[in-house]
Amino acid sequence: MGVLILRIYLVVLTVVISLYAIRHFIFSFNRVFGEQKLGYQDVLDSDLPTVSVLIPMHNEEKVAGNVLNALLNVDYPHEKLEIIPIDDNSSDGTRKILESYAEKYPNLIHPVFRDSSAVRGKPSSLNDAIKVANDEIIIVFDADYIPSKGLVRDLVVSFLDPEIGAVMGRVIPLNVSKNFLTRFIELERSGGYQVDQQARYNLGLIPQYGGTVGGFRRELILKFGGFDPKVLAEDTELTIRTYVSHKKVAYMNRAECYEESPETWDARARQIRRWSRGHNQVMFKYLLPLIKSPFLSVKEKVDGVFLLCIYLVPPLILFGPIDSIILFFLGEIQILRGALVFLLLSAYTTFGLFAPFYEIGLGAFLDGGTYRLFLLPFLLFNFFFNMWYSSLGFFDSILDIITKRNPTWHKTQRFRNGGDLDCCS
Amino acid sequence: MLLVVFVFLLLVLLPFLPGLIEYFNPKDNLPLDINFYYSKNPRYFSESFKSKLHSKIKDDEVQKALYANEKVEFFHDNVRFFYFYDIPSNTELNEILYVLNDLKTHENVILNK
Repeated sequence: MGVLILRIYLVVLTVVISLYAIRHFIFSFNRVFGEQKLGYQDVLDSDLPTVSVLIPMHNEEKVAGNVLNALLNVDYPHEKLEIIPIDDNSSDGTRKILESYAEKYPNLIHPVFRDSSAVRGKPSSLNDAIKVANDEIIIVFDADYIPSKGLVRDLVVSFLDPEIGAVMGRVIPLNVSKNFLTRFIELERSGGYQVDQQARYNLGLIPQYGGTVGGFRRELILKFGGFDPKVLAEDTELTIRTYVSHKKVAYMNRAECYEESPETWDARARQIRRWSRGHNQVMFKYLLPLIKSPFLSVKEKVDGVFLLCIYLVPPLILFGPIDSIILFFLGEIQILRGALVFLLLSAYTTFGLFAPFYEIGLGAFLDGGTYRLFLLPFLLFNFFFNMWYSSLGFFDSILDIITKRNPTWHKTQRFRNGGDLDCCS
Repeated sequence: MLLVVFVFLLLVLLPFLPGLIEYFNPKDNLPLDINFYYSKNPRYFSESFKSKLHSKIKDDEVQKALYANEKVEFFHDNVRFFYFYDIPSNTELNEILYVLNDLKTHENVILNK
């Protein structure tokens, strides 16, 4: 019985990884040879909706001024724009900075201050700000992001289509040259946005709202009753809820914005672990509602399942070698026989295992990367790093369910000193 | 045996060599460029065309037409150049028209060029 379970596990693992590999190849193929779906940014319309731009902040004195200056500089009609920085109980000078900006621009900047009695974290902060925001559309930026002059308009114009419930722009790492890690992250981002997100949008699947450089309709989130403060991946949750509510997510590849990547492996590990934990929370909560929803097409449901289960794969892979070693020493590794199996296994090893790397390579190529492509083989080490911390995040989410504990929000560490980028002072 | 091990290690490590060279002697490590001042401008084409005319055609009348507010007419090789132009009804034109701002036509106007 035990051997049978181990054998089934190995077969299931191989099938799951193969399906994801095929998915990666379909996306890469679509991005090169398929019909490309344009964003809405070329629509010209003076009748734009009113917008509240929310910026959750916790101890962001290094970057708060930059993001506010950049937002004051955007070309969106100021009479239709409201900027709401949210100070989530900061202990540094963030509050003072926000107060000085609010004093200087009273018609435009309306900060929200949260004290120690409030539940900390991005979902709770957004919920508080959405209550005071008066506008039809909510756009969210993290505090370390630097929006360009036309970005808010490029994002908001998508909402002229009543089918669109949320929109996502593209994030581009700024501190690429710092070290090996930041260069890896830049490559991953290229693959993730330039290929993965755009291909999903092209194919009418589920592009993901990423929680920043994106937005959503206020009425939609109010209908949901706000963000769930216990869910650490409020972005994935909103994506799935949008589709289950008969709306869609638009992806704007041209709406680009700089972000700061984590510069230490420790910060990156915590970030991946949090993403995985939150994503799996959403998976447990929404897998069945997604499958049962009458508003999604079959291909959207299939992609939704792939999307929700993406952080389930690392722990599956983690146990794969242990499983095969046990089977090997038990003399039970020979599951299937024949030359065809050998051929399939060779093809899978050659192409399947490297499918994400092809996607990343293609993304970097489309972005005009040259010598950076030489770093691709090193992503192998990054793959094991991501697998380990994603697996830990998965186990965290299991513990969340068993113990019914409230997860604590850990903000990603900032590295910028506030003066690296002089875009909009 | 030692040679086999050496060749094996060489083949395993070879793909990492170009990456190491790029890391220690970076040639492609700048962030992707974002134009911070890019803004969607409905008049982009007209402004771009205007600046091209300004740099290419040195004729005084054209230069005047480009930046003057009054109506300026310029006739040359069947080309008519206007700052604004309002074509009356029942008109047939056989010239090429360049209108820098709004072109208004009325009923039964035929533009052959």
